[in-house]
Amino acid sequence: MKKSKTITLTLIAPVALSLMSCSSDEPPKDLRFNSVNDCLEYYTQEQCNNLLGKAQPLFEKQNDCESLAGSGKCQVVQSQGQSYWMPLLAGAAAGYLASQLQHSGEQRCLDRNQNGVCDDREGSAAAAGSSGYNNNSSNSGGARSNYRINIEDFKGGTRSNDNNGSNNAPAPKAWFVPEQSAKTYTPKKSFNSSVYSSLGRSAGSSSRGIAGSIGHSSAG
Amino acid sequence: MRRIPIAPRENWIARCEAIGFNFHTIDYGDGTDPMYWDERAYYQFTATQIDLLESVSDELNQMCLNAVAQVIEQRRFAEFHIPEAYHAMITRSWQREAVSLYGRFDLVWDGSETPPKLLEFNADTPTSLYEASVVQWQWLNEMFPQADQFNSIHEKLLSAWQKVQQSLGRKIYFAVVRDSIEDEGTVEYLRDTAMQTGIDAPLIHLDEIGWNGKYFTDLNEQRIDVLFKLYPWEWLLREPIGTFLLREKLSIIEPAWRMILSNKAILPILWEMYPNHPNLLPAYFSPEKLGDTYVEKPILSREGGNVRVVIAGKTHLSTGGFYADEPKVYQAYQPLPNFEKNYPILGSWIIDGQACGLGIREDHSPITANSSRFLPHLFLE
Repeated sequence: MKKSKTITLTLIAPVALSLMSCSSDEPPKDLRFNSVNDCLEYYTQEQCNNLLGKAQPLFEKQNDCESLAGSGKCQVVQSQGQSYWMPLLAGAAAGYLASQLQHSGEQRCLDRNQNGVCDDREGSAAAAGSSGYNNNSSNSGGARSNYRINIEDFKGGTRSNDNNGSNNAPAPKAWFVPEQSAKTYTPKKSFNSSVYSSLGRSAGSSSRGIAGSIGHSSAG
Repeated sequence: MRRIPIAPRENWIARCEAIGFNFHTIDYGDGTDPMYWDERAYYQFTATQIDLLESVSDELNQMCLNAVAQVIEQRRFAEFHIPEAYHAMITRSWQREAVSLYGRFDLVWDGSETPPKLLEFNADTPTSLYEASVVQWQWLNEMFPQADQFNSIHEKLLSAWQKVQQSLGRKIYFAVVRDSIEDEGTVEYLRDTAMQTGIDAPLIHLDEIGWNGKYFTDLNEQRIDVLFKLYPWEWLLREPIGTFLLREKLSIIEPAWRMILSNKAILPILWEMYPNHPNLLPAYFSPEKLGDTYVEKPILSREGGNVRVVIAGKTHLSTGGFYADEPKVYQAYQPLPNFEKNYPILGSWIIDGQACGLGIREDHSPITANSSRFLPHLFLE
């Protein structure tokens, strides 16, 4: 192989490429589904229930995200050149995502217990049977997606009006499924490249890199 | 070697900008196609072709180093029109083996049995580095992740900086001119890679470099010992700080001996040292031996400036520029391959003395000028 195995940029684009831990053998495994149907292309209904139940919702508008997660509880992230608002992660999951953003090549771990040991034995029952959003931030497991959904509400990515459960939370634009969740199941077929998420935090204004120097932030 | 048209990524501008690549489109102000990063097509090679490009580039690099040794040993500076004041500095930089980071050969080739030919060596201020190293790599990963690309430029840069800091220390100032997005982009990328190896890499504009009577300084009167500059040596010497460079208080990347290789007088010297070498074009200091068909190039022109193509005694094509008064060299005319009126030139990268990557620029005219477009490539086993 004559191509670089990984490329990390720390100054120019602190996040954009660091999640592209790409080599020809191993494309990134973090996934992004735009809709339930998107997921159903690759997984069974039951698997999608579990995957999307553990996924982070991605919104186009800050308001939409905050109506779910609370004021000031959302951050801008980027996936494949598009910006989204995503609820801030709590506890270990935040640490997980942060470390993932910085050290793309390292072993990823969704949850760590108090001793720092990887602990991913999450039951998947939580997703099934819940209705609408439940902000489960007090869940003692605490670490993974706190936003439970019933995917029946989101056929094709649009929340149906006749079954809107207990609140008016807007429909997410897409779903971010971290690798640790995604690899629970073997997909029916190989992923379309648009499913890979390459999720990154917005570079914002912190860098003196190119974006800052000529006035175009890659955050858009 | 094939040119394959393809639909660009739907969000290609956003993808470029997500990695800080902001000069994907360049307005030349004269109605020229502003697209610089051009993924409406790509070039596909075979592994055998890429292996050949790699070995040819390594061999050319070795020949160039041999030529520098001869020029310095035989004191042939006059043929390069290098003023006498600089001879000692160039010689000493060669003798102490001052480290070179990078260079780019421009090769003309169509992938056939006819060997690739060297057009020139950009040994001092090669550009299109970020495009070759990162942007086409990103494109490959998103479009053809299973395919390979002749491009370990990024990895080689990281290992090159590790060597550089062993010989020159851990603080390197990076100098760039103001108001050039392309140059700033290239320098920011080099700073990025240097910093990843632990180098302290402050950015400085060329006009901010001071001289305090003893050494060079930054705006805070801090001493500058090591300088990377994306600025041609011959221009640097004409700047106000130019005369102080002769005191040799500063280590510079690229080092002074690269002035010999970035000067097109190296072309006739190479042909003299390696006559009829399969990867060289005949080149001389006067056109007679080339008959009535040749290319005239100023010894210090950049980006295709003031090049004149003479075919059967008639000037077939000539470009404008700032270099009309420079001394000239004459090279056999080698038409660029024509892929449906697109004329590609192969930029073969040498990093830390090793061939490690390919970047293709394409033009609508047979002479590659500054308005060329950069296209990605891949190769298949």
